[in-house]
Amino acid sequence: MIRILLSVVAAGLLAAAAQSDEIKSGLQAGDKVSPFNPLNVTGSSAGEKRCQV
Amino acid sequence: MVAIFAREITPGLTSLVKAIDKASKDNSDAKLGSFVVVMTDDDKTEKTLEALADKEKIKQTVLCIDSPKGPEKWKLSKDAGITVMLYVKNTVKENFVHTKDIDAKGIEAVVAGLKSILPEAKKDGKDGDK
Repeated sequence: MIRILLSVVAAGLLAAAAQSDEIKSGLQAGDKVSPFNPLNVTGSSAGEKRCQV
Repeated sequence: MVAIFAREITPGLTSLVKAIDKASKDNSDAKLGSFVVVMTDDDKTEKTLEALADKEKIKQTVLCIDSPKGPEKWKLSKDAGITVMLYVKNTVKENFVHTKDIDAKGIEAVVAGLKSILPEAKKDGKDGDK
C-alpha cells in the first residue's frame, strides 16, 4: 500500500515538474539589446553580415 | 522591433514569421521592424530561407543566419527552440520562449504582445522601431 502511495506521489511530482519546464532564454523585460552581425539572407543587405538591431 | 531566434525552420516558425511580417506591414507607419535569426551551421539554411521568403512572400521581416550559439549577449538558451523578444528604444518589453515549435496559441500571444511596443514605436520618430 505504501509503495502504491509513493508511486502515485512520485508520478504527481514528475507531472508537476514536466508542466513547469519553462526555461529562460533571451533578454528579459528591461534588458538592453546589444548589436550583432548575422548573415542577412533577405532584405536590403542580403548576402552581408549586418546588424538588424 | 520584433526579434525572433530559432534553432530550426519549423511549420510554427513559418506561421510566426508570416504573422509578424503582416504585422510589420500593417504597422509600417509605426516603423515596426522585425527580423528572424536561425542559429545553425547547416549550409542548406540559406537556400531554405530564400525559398521560404519567396514562397510565403515575406517582404518586411529580414531573415538571417547566425552560429548555433547565437549572439552571446542575447543570453539565448540552447534548450529553447524559439525565443521571441519585443523591444522598443533598445529595451526589451516582452519575452516569449518555446522549447520546441510554436503553436497557434503561442503566435497569438506574440501578436497580442505587439501592443506593448506599438504605442511607444508610434511616438518615436525615425528610430521608432529600435
